[in-house]
Amino acid sequence: MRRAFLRSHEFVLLLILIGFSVLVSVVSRAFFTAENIFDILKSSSIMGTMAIGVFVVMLSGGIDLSFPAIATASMYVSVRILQRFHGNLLLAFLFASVLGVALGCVNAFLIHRFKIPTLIVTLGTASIFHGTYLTLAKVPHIYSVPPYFFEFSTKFIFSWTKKGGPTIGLSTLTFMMLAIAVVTWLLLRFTMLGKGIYAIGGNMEAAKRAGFNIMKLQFFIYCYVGLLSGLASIQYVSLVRHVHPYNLMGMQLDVIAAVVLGGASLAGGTGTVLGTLLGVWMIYLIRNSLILMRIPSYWDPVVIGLIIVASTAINAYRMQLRKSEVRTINA
Amino acid sequence: MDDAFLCLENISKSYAGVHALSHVDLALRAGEVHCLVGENGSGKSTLIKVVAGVVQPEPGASIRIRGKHFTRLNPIESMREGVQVIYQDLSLFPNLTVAENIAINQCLEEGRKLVRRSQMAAIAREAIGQVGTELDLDARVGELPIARQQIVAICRSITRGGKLIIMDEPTSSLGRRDIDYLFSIIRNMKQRGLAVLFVGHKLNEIFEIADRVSVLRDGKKVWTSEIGALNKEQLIELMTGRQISASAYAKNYSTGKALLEVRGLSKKGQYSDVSFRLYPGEILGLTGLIGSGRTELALSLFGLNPPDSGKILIDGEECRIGSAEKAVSLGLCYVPENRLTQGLFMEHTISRNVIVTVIHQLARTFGLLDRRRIKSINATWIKELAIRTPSAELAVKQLSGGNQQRVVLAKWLERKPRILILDGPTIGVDVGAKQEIHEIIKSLAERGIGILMISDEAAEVAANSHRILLMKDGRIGEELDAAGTTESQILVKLGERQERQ
Repeated sequence: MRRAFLRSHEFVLLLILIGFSVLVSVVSRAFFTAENIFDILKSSSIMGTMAIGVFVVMLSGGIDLSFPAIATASMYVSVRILQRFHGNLLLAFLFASVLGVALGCVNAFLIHRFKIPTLIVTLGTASIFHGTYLTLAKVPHIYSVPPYFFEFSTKFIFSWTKKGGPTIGLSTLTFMMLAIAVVTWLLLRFTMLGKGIYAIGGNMEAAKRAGFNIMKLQFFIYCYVGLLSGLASIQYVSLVRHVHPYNLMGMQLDVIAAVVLGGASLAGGTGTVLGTLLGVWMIYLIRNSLILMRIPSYWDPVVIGLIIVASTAINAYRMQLRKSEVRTINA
Repeated sequence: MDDAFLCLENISKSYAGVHALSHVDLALRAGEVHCLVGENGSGKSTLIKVVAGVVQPEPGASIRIRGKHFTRLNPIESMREGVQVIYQDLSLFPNLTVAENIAINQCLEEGRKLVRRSQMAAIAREAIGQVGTELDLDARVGELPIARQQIVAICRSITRGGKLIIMDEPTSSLGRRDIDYLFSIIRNMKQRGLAVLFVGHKLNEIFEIADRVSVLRDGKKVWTSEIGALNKEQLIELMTGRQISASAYAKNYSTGKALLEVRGLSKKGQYSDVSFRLYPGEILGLTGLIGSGRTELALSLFGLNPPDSGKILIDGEECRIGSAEKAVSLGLCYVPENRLTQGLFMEHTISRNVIVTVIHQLARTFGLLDRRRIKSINATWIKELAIRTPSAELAVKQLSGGNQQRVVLAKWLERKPRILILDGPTIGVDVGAKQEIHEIIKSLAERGIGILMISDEAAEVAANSHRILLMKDGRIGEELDAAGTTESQILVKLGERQERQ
């Protein structure tokens, strides 16, 4: 068991993460402080929530490009409704989740009914969802967000205050993301639903023959990513305090990159929730440390790209080694 | 029969007026290995599907399982009665562990919502114990060799209450040692009172494992008996409906100047000090166990696996063959062992596959292809090699194995080769088509092409070549004159049959 972990992709990522942190903290004193660490955890929690959803899709052998569009639409609808009526944060999450799940259903229906590749379906629906939003929304920007939205992101689960300094602690945003991660992990590990997701990602034909209800699984998967996009969108509003029609729209590639970095395969069937979180943190850590090291932010994508290529190459190389090991054992 | 586990009577099935099965009877006993043999298209797979409940037989059929009477089955009934089919693709999940793969069906059938690793491990351990083998429960199935994956599939079928295990050509991708292992598992299952229906067409294996054998031909069952009541020739005759002579091939070839000569060719870890000559019009058989270095040697001759030392001479002149292009320009052609992945573009038409080796010659001004010539080339080969197809525009994957092999031959012959290396030319081809391919190979040799035929099957080389090279552990062990050499002599020399004779 312990040996298996030492050989896992997650372990390699963890090593890179630690190594990188040590390197940066040598250069910049501001890096290895509780304040900075918790700040990274907080700002990465929106991407984390989305990445967990995307991970589940990729585990099943699919891909979702429409989640930023779903998130954008969900946050707009939720905020619009709550501008008119009295409400609270719970309702905000509820409205966003309902719309997220509904749009996820649209994806699932198209994918299951017409057997279109998931990439094409979600590429199309991303455009449809976002276009519909831009057409129907009379004021696509909203700056007057009810205050309970942003109170959420300023709360802490636990915290302490430095003398004369800022309050430091675990943000509710981070906590929420971690809770979602734990729920997803339990789901994948201890339920037949989770095994089913692994199964269709590993061998769709065999999953059918084994008697898994493919329709049910696919509806679950795409509704789940819709749900998490809805939740993440409210986390986002709470953090940035306004609704913007384009801010989330470029996130697809970053999120998918984080999931792949975390060890998930584009072909489906492999990866872990922990790996996904490590992938997300890695990306934020790199961004944060480049800022601290005063390297122009144009370098962000270059460094992130390098890390992705390097980590997947290491992984592929290790797989080759392991395969040849198996072969010599059997020879 | 009273002790029959499964009793099929009067099973018929037609597709669009063609009889896939007509009035087939078959009885399987618990505790026996029953082999079902027949050529491609003889109805084997339809019969399996009837038993599995995937295909419904026509009215009038009777299916009795342990005394219970059915006129037709659906998949769920079939499984409930203990019928389990292991298809060729095994239907496993490569990303899940052995334990999960074995236990997942049972968990699904019990309608569980939650699963624990310990529960799955317990289910798996029990099944593995029943099969009588050992497996690492936490290993990922995708990382196991095929032979082990097959055992996982067998274990899984037992967790589903399998009393009759149907295996569809289970040995098609296994080496000799793995086949022995699989057979020991099958014997074990037999002793535990399971019925095994083994579907295949490799005769040696059938004689090894079967208790009884049934033969299907053109949708009719033509024979059932104890395996001991038949010999190989009789079985082939039953399968093909015609007598196939396995007499040695004895046409002359010129022994003048060698077309291809190899001197002291070596490559570390693969083969060493290989020397031989190939004459025009000769069929030189090369046989040896898997792993003896024969395929590596062939690849070296074709420029895909450069040797460390030694010489290759063509027409008496030394050449360096550093790439496949160079080999082709010297008049060499190589038809690989796995025609499906290496030799053909399965999705494309016969026509496109055939012209691929000569496409540069077909280009006219502006690089456009000469359609008329393509047509005539295809027409020639379809006629000459008797490829059974309605048109040259049919996708290759729609052809039978024997016809696919002919397309590969056509493709290389269009290059007008002088030396043809055939690696396992009849792998996966059924008995009747095999014979026809052998005839084609012989007629090619008669045109003066030198042919190096590499094969697993001692019988194939013994019957169809002039001389035979035996390869063992990377060396040419012996050279035999094919006339007067029999299959069993070859096998004894290769050390495969020691314990049995």
